[in-house]
Amino acid sequence: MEAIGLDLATFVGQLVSFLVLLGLLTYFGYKPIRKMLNERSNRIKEGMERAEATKQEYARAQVEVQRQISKAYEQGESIIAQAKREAEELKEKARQEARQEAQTIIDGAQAELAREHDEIISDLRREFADIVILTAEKVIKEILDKKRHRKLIEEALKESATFRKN
Amino acid sequence: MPHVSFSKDYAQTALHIEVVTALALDNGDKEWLSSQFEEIVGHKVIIEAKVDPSIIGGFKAKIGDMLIDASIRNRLETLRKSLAELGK
Repeated sequence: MEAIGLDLATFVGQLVSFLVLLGLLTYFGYKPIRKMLNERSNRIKEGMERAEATKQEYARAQVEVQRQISKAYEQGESIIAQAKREAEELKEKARQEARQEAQTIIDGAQAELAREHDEIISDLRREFADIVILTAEKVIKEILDKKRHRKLIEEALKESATFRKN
Repeated sequence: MPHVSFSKDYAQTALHIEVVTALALDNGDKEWLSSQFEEIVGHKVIIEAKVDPSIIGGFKAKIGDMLIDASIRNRLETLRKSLAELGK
């Protein structure tokens, strides 16, 4: 030891000092630091896990949102299509009702026209009959004398085989 | 046979017939009409003559509750109805 310039007592003393220092450092420095580092590492790991979970949750949420948007879009399309169909049906119904109403009005007008036409014809017939009868009555009264009156009664007696109840 | 009212004229039951004409009947007309009606009803009759110019001509006869309307007025009314119905 002396050959290499080392004093054994000094060496041993320094070794003991070193070991004591190492022990002290290990006990008071390394362990707490390691514990702290482990805790930090765990926190970071947990944070990363949470971040990953959040990311996955976000991705799932995005998918869900997309699905909801697609569903809403489909529902919207369906509602629009339904509304269009209903609007067409309403239009068609209104068209048919208008057509029927118009036809009813036309039919009514035609019936009224026919009724008025028939009424006019009937009035004309009645007026014609009245004129004919009045003329005949006037002529008969003018030409009726006692002889013709007797003749009328004779003819009436011959013809009157029918008796009527009062 | 319709219900008729009888009376005891000419010593037997006679049928009263009310006859309406447009011109008044003289006795000869009434006798002639009586004979004509007696032939129709097969019974003795008594004519009760009435005048109604509105029947124009011919006659209306009421025998009991039966009526013979052989007046010109009736014929004209029938003709009027036929003309009014013409072409319907």
